[in-house]
Amino acid sequence: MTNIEEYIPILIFLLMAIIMSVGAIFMSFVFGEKEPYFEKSSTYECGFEPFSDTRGKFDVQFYLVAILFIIFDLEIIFMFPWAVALIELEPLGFWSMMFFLFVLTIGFIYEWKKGALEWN
Amino acid sequence: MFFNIFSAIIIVSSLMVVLSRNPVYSVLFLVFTFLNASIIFLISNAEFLAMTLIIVYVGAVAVLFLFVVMMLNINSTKIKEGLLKYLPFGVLLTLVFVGELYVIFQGESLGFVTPKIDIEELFQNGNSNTKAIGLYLYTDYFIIFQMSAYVLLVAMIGAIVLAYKDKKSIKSQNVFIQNTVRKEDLIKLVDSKKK
Repeated sequence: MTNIEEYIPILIFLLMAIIMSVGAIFMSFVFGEKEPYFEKSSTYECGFEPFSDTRGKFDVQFYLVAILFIIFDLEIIFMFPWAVALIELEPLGFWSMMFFLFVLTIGFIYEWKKGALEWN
Repeated sequence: MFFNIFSAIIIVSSLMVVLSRNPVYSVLFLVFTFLNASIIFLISNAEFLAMTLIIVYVGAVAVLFLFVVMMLNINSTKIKEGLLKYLPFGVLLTLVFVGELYVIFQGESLGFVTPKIDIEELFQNGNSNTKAIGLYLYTDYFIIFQMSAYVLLVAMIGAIVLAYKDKKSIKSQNVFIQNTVRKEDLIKLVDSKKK
C-alpha cells in the first residue's frame, strides 16, 4: 500500500512554486507603476508594425517527432513493471516482453529506413 | 474529502477545456485535468498509474496537442460554431463511457467480469504498486499486452504514412562525400597558353 505521507514534500514544493510564481506576478501588478497609453500597449515587432499573426503554422515534422516520441515513451513505461517484477516472473513473462520489443523494433526499422527521423 | 476536492477541480477544468476561447488555454487546462487525475490515482493507491499519467499524458500527449493546436492555425473566434451539430455525437460517447464504467464497477454482480486478481492479498504480501502490475500484466494478461504492441506499431506506421513527406527536392549535405573528396575531383588544371 502507498504511504500518502511520502508525497507531502512534493506537495510542499508545489505550494512553494505556486506561491512564488503567483506572488511575483501579483506583487509587481500591485506595486508597479502603470501609465498605459495607446502606443505603449499596442503590439510591436522590433519597432515595426507586426508583419503576421502570432499564431503561425508549424511544420508537420514537429508533430511527427512528437508522436514517435510518445510511442517510445510508452514502450519504456511498459518496461518499468516488467523490470521490477522480472525476478518472480515465469519465462512467459520474459519472452512476452521480448516479443513486444520485437514488434516495436519492426516499426523502428521501418521509420529509420523511411527516413522519418532525418531532419531536413 | 480529498477525492471530492480533486474531482471537483477535474470537472471544472475539463469544462474549461471545452469552453475557453483560446485553444492554447484549452490545452493548458487539459494538462491541469491530467495532473488532478494523477492526484486521484495517487489517493486511490495507484502510484504507478499516477506517475505514468504525468510522464505520458502531461509530458508527451499534451505537447502533441499543443503542436496540433499550433499547426491547425485555428481562428479562435470561429471555433464556437457547430456546437449543436456535435452534441448528439457527444451524448452518444458519454453514454458509451458511462456504460463502460458501469460494467467495470458492477460487472462482477452482473456476471460479465470475473477478476483474476485479489488486490488486497497482493498488497498484503508486501508488493509495491509497480511490482503488482508487473506480476500480472506480462503473464496473465499476455494477449492484451501483445495487442498493445500492435496498437503502438499501427500508431507508428500510421503517423509516418500520414504526416511524413519525402522531401527529395531539398538538397542536403552528405558528410561522407564531403570528407572524402579529393582535389583531383574538383580542380582541373588547364594550360591556357597552349591553345
